[in-house]
Amino acid sequence: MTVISCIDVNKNYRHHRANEDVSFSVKENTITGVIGRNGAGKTTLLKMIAGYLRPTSGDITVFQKHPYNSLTVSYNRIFVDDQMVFPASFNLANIIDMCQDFYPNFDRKFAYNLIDYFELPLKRTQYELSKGQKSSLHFIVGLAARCPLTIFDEPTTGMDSTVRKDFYRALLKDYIAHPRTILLSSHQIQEIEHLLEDVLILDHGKLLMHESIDDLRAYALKVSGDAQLVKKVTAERDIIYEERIGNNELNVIIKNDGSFQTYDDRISTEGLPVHELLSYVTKKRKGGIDDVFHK
Amino acid sequence: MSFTNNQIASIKQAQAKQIIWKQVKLKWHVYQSAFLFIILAQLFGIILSYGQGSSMSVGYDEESNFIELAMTYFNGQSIIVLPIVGLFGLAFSLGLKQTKQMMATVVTTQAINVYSNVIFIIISSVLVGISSYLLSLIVKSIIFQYFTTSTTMVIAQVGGVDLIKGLFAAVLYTVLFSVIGYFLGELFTAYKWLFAIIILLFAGYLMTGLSFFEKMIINLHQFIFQEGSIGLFTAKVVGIVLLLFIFILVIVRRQEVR
Repeated sequence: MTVISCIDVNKNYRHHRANEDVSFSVKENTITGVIGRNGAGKTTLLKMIAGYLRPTSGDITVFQKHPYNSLTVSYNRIFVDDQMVFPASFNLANIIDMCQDFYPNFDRKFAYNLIDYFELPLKRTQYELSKGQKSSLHFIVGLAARCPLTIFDEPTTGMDSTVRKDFYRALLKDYIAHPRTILLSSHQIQEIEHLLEDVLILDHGKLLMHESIDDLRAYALKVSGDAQLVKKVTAERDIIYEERIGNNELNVIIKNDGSFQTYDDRISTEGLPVHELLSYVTKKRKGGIDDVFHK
Repeated sequence: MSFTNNQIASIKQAQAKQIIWKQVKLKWHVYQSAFLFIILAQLFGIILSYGQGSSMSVGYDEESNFIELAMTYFNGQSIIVLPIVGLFGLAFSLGLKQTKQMMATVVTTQAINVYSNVIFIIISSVLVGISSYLLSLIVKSIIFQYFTTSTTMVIAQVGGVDLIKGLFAAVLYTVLFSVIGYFLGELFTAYKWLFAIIILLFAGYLMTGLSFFEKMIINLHQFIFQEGSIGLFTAKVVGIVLLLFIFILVIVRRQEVR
């Protein structure tokens, strides 16, 4: 069953377009990564799916309903980001009570177990927590709510790497025990790669790719070596990115159609890890940071 | 990954009525400290009751047959006016973006938020109106008992039907001012420029006393606050509240939350 469907979705703000002609669908009970650089339009897209924002044009449906101002969608989804606002007077125990009151699948015991494990102070309010602790609280609420659609937008902001790993492990274990549709946006693709089944890649508001993680792992090849030779063997190929290393070396990222072979020792060929592929496909096409110093 | 059917989180249908009440309950918890402030305002009103000077008063005046909101001397009525001001501020804050974001962290929609806000405001107004009015009567009785003067005596001698009418009028005033506060909060969030124009016009009127605005405000004052019949007064207040409620729904209809 399709949980999310986006058809030609556009979102314009006064001075810029955040999303442009975005079309994709997400199946029930999958974990989909939403990946892109800062300003790629990830948060806007996720907020439209959550029903907080209205698309300027195009069609979004979640559980076959338009999410904006839909009670059914609001009841069956949770949106977790670093801007979740809980009442200033509520301590963590009050916040758990409040979430349990609103979310029908909320697992209070699980929430308390996580709070205990991550040593969050129950008597403190959200505003008395550190940045990492705040993110932990939001993550716990999102996980324990067990909503059929759970949206995490950069959920690990401010957490240290050990806590991040623990949370992602908890997410995977809970997902296996209680499957639901999860959208997860993060800059740390290496840390979430093992969780994902599908990946949406956004760049400048547009959808660049929507592939399964397995397809992405086999998506591209990196051909490196003598610049002239590399140029020659990749001339007829679908080139994703090219970068010069030193004076006479060249790295070329080509699309892997399964037919590329070379027996020349001066050229090396290797598969491209997903995080590297993502950095190449969303890299600036013209120049690099070094050019800033030569202007 | 494949899952069995009983593992999968199924979609649940929410009852709007149920979510509205949950939101009202949430607001009640959130604004507990604000109610403490309102109680403090009532107590401050008691202190003011002993002084001399001018203040606003509301109630039913049998002699003139008017339901009044008038600038008058300090008496038990300041116990009513201060909580109304407090509730006006609380209602204004309900329309602000930060509060809406807080309420949208859990289950809601724009319409449900408005319905729950209005219900919360009405319940609060009834409680604040009744408690303030009764407190003002108690203070008046005490003043009548121990510090009797000719002016306080007349006011304190209220009872029976007049008491009920006065109580009803106090509640209606509280509801009216709270809903106006909420409307202004929503207007401020949605159209800051319009809000600024209204404030500037009002300030301009206060400074220059332009006859057009003066006439308009006098007419408005007479229409609402100098109504002789409690039935008509109730109808007017209910009408204004409903009108503002519709305006608010129109304002928030296409508003984005976060």
